[in-house]
Amino acid sequence: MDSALNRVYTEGEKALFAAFDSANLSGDARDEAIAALKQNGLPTRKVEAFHYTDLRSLLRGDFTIAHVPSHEDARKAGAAFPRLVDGAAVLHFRDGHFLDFGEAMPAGISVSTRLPDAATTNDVANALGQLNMAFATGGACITVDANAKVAQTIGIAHTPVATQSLAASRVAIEVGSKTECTFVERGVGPDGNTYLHAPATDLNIAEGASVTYTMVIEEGADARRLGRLSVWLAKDAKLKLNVIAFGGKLVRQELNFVVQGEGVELEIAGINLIGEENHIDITSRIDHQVPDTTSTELFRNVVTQRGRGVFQGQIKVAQPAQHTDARMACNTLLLSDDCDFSAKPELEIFADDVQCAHGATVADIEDSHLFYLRARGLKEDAARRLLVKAFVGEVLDEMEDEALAETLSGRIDAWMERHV
Amino acid sequence: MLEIKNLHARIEEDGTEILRGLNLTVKAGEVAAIMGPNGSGKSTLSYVLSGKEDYEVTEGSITYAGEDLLELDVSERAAAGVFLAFQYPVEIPGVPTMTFLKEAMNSQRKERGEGELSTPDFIKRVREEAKKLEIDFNMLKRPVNVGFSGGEKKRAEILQMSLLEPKLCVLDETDSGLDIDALKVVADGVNHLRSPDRAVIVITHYQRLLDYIVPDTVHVLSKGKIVKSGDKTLALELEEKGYSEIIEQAA
Amino acid sequence: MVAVQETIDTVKTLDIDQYKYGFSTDIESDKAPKGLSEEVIRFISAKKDEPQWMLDWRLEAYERWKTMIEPDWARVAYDKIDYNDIYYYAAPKDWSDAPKSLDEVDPELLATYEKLGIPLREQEILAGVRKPSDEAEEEGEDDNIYKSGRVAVDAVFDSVSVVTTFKEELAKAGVIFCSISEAIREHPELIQKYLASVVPVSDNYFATLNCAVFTDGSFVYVPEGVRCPMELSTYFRINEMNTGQFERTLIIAEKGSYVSYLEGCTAPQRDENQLHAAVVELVAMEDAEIKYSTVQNWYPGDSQGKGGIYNFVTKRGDCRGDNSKISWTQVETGSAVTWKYPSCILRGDGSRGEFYSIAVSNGMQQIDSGTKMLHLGKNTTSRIISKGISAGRSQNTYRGQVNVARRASDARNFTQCDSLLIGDRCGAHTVPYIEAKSPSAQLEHEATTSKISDDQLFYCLQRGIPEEEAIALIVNGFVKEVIQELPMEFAVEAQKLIGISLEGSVG
Repeated sequence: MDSALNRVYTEGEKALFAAFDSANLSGDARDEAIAALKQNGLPTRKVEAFHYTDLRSLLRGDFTIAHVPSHEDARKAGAAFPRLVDGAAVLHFRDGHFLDFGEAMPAGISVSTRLPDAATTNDVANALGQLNMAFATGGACITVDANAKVAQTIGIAHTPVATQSLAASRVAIEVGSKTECTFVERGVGPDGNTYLHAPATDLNIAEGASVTYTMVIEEGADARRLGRLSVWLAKDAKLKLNVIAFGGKLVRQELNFVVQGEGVELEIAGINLIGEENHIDITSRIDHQVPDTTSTELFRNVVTQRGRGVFQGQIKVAQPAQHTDARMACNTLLLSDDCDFSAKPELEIFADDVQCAHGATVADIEDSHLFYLRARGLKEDAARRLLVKAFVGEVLDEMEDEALAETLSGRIDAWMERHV
Repeated sequence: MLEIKNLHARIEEDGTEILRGLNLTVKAGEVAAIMGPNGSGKSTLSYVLSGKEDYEVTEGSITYAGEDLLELDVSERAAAGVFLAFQYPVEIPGVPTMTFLKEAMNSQRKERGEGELSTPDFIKRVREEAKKLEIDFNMLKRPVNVGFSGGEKKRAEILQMSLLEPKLCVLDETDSGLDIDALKVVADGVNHLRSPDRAVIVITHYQRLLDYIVPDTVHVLSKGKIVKSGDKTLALELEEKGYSEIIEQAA
Repeated sequence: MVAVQETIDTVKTLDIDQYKYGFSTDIESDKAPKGLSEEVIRFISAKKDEPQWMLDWRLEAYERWKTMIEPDWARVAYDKIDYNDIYYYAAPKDWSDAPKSLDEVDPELLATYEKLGIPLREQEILAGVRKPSDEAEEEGEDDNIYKSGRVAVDAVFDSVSVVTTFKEELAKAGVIFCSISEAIREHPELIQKYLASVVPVSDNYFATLNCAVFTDGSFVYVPEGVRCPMELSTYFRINEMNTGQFERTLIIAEKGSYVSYLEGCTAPQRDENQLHAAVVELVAMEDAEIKYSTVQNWYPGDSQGKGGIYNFVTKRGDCRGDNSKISWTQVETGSAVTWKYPSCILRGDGSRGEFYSIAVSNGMQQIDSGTKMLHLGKNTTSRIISKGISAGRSQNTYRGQVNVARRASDARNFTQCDSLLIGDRCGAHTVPYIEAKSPSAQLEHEATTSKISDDQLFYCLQRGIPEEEAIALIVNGFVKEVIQELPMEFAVEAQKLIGISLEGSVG
């Protein structure tokens, strides 16, 4: 192992460490995390988990971090961002700090506005975990009482707005047994702003609870996002997760699932729209530890205009996890000859009585389909958009919140207007 | 030939009791129809007879040709002449049907202490039987049941039955998924196999199949028991009145 | 369920020492001093009577190797190899005075090959009963392709090629088939042009080591427009203790030619691990086709994981010309540890690469194998069919890369990876890397992991087929797509080998 002393840091790494020093962040856990980052540097493609997202080279050049905003800075930055859907009870995070705009929470939900402990954030061995551990300034602990059936959607809105800032926050959600609840997490920031957003969410779902969770990634055009969502599922827990990513200059979203109770049903579906030299990387790991659980994962990716897409999906089935049924699919449309996509769907199986499968495809829009639509009088652009929409539509159609699906559908149309 | 006494059987995995004191006697040469509503235990009976390990016999006995059938494992029962025509024949990718047939025939012959068939004799026999059942010989070069239509699968089951020459044939809802022409071909195949030393149990939900395979006896199965037995007219009565009325009467 | 459980139990208690090639031959040998040094490399080069340029090339590779680090990314774990505890050269005594004809070859040596089922006397081969192919299709009783008569064999024993059969007949067709040592002496222009042109000297740790110390292997040159009149084959045998085998194979198919090549390998049963680090390079020019088949049956170690071969092999084919084709077929049943990724560089427009693999692991075996398909030319296609079967306490990993370069328009790939687990103490892993830079690429990847279905097993049992045979039948069905890519008689041998490897779970 190279010692930190011998390592030559990039401008990006230097800016990161300088920002830490100037932000007056203290605590052993932070110090350990930053020391680990200094020791190893940002991961390069030689680190298997970052094979397609070389953070060291991606966070250099025009990237710099000037500061970590204080709570006062964040408060002065103004009112809440427009909401994605009406009727949700929203928790606002600006520049990594929790801001209380006096939103009323529905019955059964309680929020404590403190930074969750290190103990609930798993895998600090990973660079993204270390980054969040070192830099997280604001946070919240959300508790959903056992047996609560919460009809109102809980929104978690992250809005980094300060230029050249590093915004990191940590949210811990404890979902009590036999509850039903819905979350929409959103990361949204202004274009023309080179901020780095590093949100981390820990979601702990207790026995028999059923959670619907939608993550919408619409970071600014010049933004970098290094996000993590870690989920633990207890016996008979259900999670339906949708991840919809529109962009950010660099997005690495890690999704970790620990299936630790029998009877768990995990359903993940996502859309990645990747254009304008964006680099979007979804890296998921599903760890089946006990018998009789199911997981399905479907990602639909559209890549164009020098975009670069990455999907890494690992399914791990431990030796006791008999009767696991795990299926994963990753389908990609490459629309221009300057973009690329890399997929690494991975199976790691130690139990014999299982059904596991993954599939990955990469292709362009089918010519015959395009021809058929054009023969019926559609203009080429319209025909292409229709086909791309149909391709990603399967994910939207399965969403339970129709109003949200409708809104996202509109955003996808707007994205296609610009990119397809 | 077959005597089932007070048979109780349950699903091994969750302990659900399906057969609850079933009694049934089938003589050599007899064609017995077992009819019953969905969930009455028809398929379970066929699996218990063939020895599927997902079911556990908790009480009662099955005597077959004077022997305790429950003492034999699946392939031993097959070699002893018990044949199950599956409701849903299983697909086995990559294994050519011909290879499978030859393996099955010779395994059974070996178990019975008979010599193996030579390849030309085997092919000749298969050709003859396939022709009778209007099965295209090329179909048999494909893997077992893979890509077969519903009708083709059922015909292939009957083909196997005629080649293996069992003593006790159990036909589990052989009529499901068959159009009327295929039904006739399959029924003809079964009728050809009727003989004084062979018994056939036809398990079905509908009377339709029994127009073509005319049974000697008809038994109504309900909640894991035979609740009424009769001759072929019982099937017509069932068709006319429906299961619930007959079952109520019997109770 | 109960039946399957019995199978699993049998596998658990299983001693995989069913290895029937585990004998060793007592033959006096001539070895290089133990360990690796410049002197040893000079010794090998001198033994081979090599020209100076070859020695220089080896020494350069050795210098390079000393700066490299052994790779650790594969999912295999083994004790650290002491590269100074290996003999890098072992040959039957007095080999420098090489026999002129078979009559001069030590009878012990010939007997060894007889025992392995590989007759080396052409007259014996020709005297052998050749089965008409149609009959073989139906029955396939003869268990050995070598006895069928139309195979030329290069027999490599430890570090030297013992004999190459049918050389004269092949020469009439213009085909050069000889040991690589002979080719270095007799055809230096071809060696200098093609050696390391597919696998560069510094490609990877084991390949670089091979460049420095390779001892023998086969050389094939098929001239323009020639369809090689018979199957070519190399049979590798490790005999000596503590000896590594470092073979080097180079096959060149000129424009419009065709060659089918087979390799087989076995080793005695020994308690210590032995290293086998080979490099195979294939070059296919315009419209040429190379079909390369391997049945790998190195000693796998015992059921406790003691002994066995470390099989660290670099195999790569270069579809250099337009519309060329390279097809790899492998049946991997042996070795304690396998690290092997036969690959295709699809350089020529319209070229095609294929990889068909069956990897069976049992006992404590570890396999990390797969392929790379690098699409560089236009309209290139590749096809990957991989069937992994894990039993016992083994670990079986498929690792494969499909890469489509930006200018490789209209590239196509189809990948199917299926894993079958027998028992709950083993592991099956799939690690594909799919990388597309061209929108006109069409890539399809599918992978499944399952066990033998209870329904299939029950169906077979109900028809009276005993369990062991039923499992064998289903497993053979599972691997069928790959088996049918092998030359006919080889396919029969491979099927039997799979059966033996799964002994205890398959009859």
